[in-house]
Amino acid sequence: MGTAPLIQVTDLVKDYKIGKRGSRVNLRAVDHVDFEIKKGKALGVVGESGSGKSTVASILAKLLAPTSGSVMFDGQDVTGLSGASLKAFRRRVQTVFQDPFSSLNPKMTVLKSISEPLVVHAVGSKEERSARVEELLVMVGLEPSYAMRYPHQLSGGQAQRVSIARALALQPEFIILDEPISSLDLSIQAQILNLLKELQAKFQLTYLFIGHDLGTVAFISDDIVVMESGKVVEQGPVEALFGNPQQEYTKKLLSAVLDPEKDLGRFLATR
Amino acid sequence: MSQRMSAFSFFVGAKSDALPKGPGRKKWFRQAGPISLAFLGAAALLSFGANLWVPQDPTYQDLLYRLVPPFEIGEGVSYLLGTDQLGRDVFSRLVHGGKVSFAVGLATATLAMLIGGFLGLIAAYFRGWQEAVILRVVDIQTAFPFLIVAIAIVSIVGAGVNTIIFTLVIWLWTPFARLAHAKSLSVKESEFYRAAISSGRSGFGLVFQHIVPNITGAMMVVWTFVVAQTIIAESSMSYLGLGVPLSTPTWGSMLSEGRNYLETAWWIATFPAVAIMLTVLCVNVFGDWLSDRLDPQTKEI
Amino acid sequence: MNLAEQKVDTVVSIKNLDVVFNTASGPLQAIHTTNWSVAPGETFVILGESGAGKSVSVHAVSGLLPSTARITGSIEFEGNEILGADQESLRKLRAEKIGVIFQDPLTSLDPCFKVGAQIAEIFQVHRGMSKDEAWNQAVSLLDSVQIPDPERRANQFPHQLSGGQRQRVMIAMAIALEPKLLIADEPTTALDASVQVAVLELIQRLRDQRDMAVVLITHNIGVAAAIADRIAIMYAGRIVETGTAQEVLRSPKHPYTQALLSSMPRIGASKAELLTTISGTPPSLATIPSGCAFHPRCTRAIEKCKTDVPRLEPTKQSVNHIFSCHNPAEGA
Repeated sequence: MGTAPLIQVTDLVKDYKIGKRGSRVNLRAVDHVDFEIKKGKALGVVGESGSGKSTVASILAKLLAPTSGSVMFDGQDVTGLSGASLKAFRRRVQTVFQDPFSSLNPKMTVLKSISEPLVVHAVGSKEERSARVEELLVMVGLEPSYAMRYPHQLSGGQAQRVSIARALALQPEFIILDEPISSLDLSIQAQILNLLKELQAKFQLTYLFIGHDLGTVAFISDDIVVMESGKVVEQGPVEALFGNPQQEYTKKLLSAVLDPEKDLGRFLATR
Repeated sequence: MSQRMSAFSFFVGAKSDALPKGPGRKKWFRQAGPISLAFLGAAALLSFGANLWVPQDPTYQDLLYRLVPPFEIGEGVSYLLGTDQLGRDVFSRLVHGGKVSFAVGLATATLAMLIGGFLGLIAAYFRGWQEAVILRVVDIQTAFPFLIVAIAIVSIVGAGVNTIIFTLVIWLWTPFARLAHAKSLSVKESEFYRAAISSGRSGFGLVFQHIVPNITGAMMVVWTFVVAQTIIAESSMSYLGLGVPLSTPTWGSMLSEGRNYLETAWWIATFPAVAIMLTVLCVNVFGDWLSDRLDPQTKEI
Repeated sequence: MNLAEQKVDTVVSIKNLDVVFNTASGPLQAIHTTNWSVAPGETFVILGESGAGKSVSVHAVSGLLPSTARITGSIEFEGNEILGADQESLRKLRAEKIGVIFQDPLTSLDPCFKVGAQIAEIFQVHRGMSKDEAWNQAVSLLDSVQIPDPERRANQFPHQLSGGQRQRVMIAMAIALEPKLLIADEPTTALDASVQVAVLELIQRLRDQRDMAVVLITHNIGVAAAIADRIAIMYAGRIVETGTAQEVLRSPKHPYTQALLSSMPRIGASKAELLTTISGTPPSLATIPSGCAFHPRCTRAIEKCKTDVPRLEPTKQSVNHIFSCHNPAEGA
C-alpha cells in the first residue's frame, strides 16, 4: 500500500469574468488552493458563503474547469481529461449534492435514477441492474419497493438516501459530498451521517465533505480545510485544528458555533 | 407592518414550516378539464367524420330555400340551424367547417411546437452563438405584426389550407422557442442534471433523458393555448378573405358571409361564432387544468 | 378600561389553540390545544423539526395564516381577546404592536424600492410623517440596527446589501413602530454562522432596550440554547415539553427531546463511532400516528402510547417544567 494520496490538488485557481463588455471585472473564486486526501480518509471543507468551497467541489467533480492548477487523481493528472478517459474517471468519482429533491429527475422513478450510472457505463443486463438497485436500496436503508416511487413520493431523507445509492452504484473510490445533509431535518441528519460513516468503513471510500456546520463536519472528517474568500486559511487533522486553532479566521468560525451546552444563555438579558 | 411587506412576508411565511397550500381551485374545476377534453374530442371526431353522418351536402345550393330560419322542420327536409343566402344548410356547413378549424389548429400547434421547441432547446443547450442568433430572431419576429406578414405570404403564395398553416406556424413558433429555452436552462442548472453529467452522461443522453421529459409538460400547456389561438386566427384570416377557397366551408368564412345578414338572418354568422367561442373556451379550460396538474407536487405538510 | 393604563404581565397569551386547514383533501389539523404565553422582555423559543406546527401557532397571532385556516381557542394580546375581533382593529394592532421577521430577507424586501424608502413608508403610513421626516427616521433606525454608513445604505436597493444586512433591515422594519411583540420565524437559518451570532446579539440588544417580548421559531438547538428564556418543543402539532431553557436542555424529560439532544454531533465530543439516532421520520400533518404521535419512534413506548394522547404534566423538580409522556424515565 503506497502512501501517495488519492487526491492531490495543487495551486488550483478559478477566475470568473463578470460584468458587461468593456468593464469586465475578474472574480477569483478559488485562489491558489492546495490540499491532498489520502485513500480511505474524509476531508472536511468548511467556510462561509463565498469561500469557494462549492467551486472546489465542482472542479474536483469535473463539473467545472479550473483556470489553472492541477488535480491529480490516483497519480494521474485529470485536469485535461476527455472522452473515454473522462468516462473512466467518472466511474471512480461520484457526487452527492445538497438539495435532495433537486438531485433527482422528477420524471424518473427511483429505479431509473439509481441505475442511470450503470446504464451509461453499460454495466450488466437489465435484470442484473435491477438486482443491483435492490441491493443498493437495502444498503442505504430503504425498502426495495421504493424502486418504483417517484421523487415527489419521497421524504427529504429518503430522497437523499436515493442520491447516495446512485453515487454508490458503480462502486466508486471517491465521493464528493456538497452539503449533503443541510436541507434535512435534525433527526434525519443524524441518520444520514451515520449511514455515510458506515458506508465509508464498509467500502473504504474516500470523502470530500463540504459543510457549514462545524459539529457535523467534525464528526465525519479526519482532516479539515478552512477556506475564506477562495483561499485556504488553515488545514490539518480535525482534533488539532478545532481543538487548537492557529488562525484568527478559524477561531472566529469556532466562536460562532452555538453549542447547547456551552452557549446556554449566551444572549440572555443580564438582569 | 406596511401593506407591501405583509404581501411579501406572507409568501415567505407560507414557505417556512411548510404551511399547507389552500384548497386550490374550487372542486368543480377538477372535473372541468377532462370534461372539456372529452367535449373537444367528440366535436373533433364528429367534424372529421362529417361525411358519414351529416345529412346535407354543405355546398348544395337550394335557392328556393334561402335564408330559412333555424329550427324549422319542412316537408322531407329539415334545416336545423337554417340556411344561408345561397340556400346551403348552416348545420352541415358548421360541422364540415369544424374540420378545417380542428385540422388547422392541431397541425399548426404541433408543427410550431416541434420547430420552436427544437430551436429553443438548441439555444439553451449550446449557449454561445446559437443562443444569440435564435433569441434575436425570436425577438425580431415577435415585433412584426402578424397581419402584415399573413397578407404578404398569402399574396405571394396564394390562399389555401397549407398556406394558412404555414403562415400561422411562422407566427406561432416563437412562444414555444422562448419557453423551451427558459425551461431547458433551468433543467441545466438543476442538481439532477449535474448528477447525470457526473454519472457520465453526455450529449443526446442528457437531452433526451433529462431535458426533454422535463420541458414537455409546460410545452403541452402552451400547445393547447396555441390551438385556441390558431382557431381564432384561421377564422380571422378566412373572414378577411385570406383563408381557404370559398367553396370549402370554414367557420371564419361563414362569419364573413353572414356579416351582411346580421339583422335579417342572424343565424348565418351567430352559429359559427358560438362554435368558435365554445371550442376556444374548452381548449383554454383544458389548458388551465393541465397547467394546474403539472404544478410540482406540494411538499408533504 | 383604557388599554394604556392596564398593567399587563403577559404580552401575548394563547390558550387551547386549535388550527385546522381546509385543504383540497379535507380538513387537516395543524396544531392541537396549544398553550403558551410570553411576558415583556422575555424570549420564548419554539423548537422543532419541519411540519411540527411551530410557524402555525405563531402566525395565528400575527395574522399571516392562509385564509383556509380555521382558528379556535383564545388569543389574548395585552389582556384583550383578539380572536374574533373586527378586521380593522386587528389590522391596526398587528401593524403597530407586532413586528415579524422571516427567514429569507431577500424575498421579504421589495426589490424595486430603495431600502430607506421601504422603511420610511412605514412612518408615513402609520405615523403620518412627511417624506423627509420619515426618511430621517429610517436612517436613524438603520443606525440603531448597526448598519454602518446608514445614509448611504438607505439609498441602496436590497440586492446591493449582504444577507446579514438585509436581515437587519427587516429587523428595522419590524421594530419601527416600537412593537410590544417581535416574532422571528427562523431568522438566522439562511445566514452564515458568524452573521447569525451578530443578528442574535442585535435581537437581544433591541429586546432589552425596548422591553419587547420575543417569540423565536427555530430548528437549531444551539440558537435556542443561546437566546431563550423559555423553550417549547413541538412535535406533530403539539407542544410536548416546555420549561426554562436550562430545564429543557439540561434535564430534558420527553423522550423526543432527549433523543434529539443526544443525536447532535458536537465538536470536541468524543469521536464515537456513530451518533445515537431517532429511528423513522417526523410525521407529516396528514399522517400523524394515533395516541402519542411519537410512539412509533420512541424507545420507551408502551401499549397506552398507541391509543391515548398524553397530557402535559409538571416534572418532580419544577412545576413550570411540563412535558407529556405516559412512560417517562425514573425521576421525571
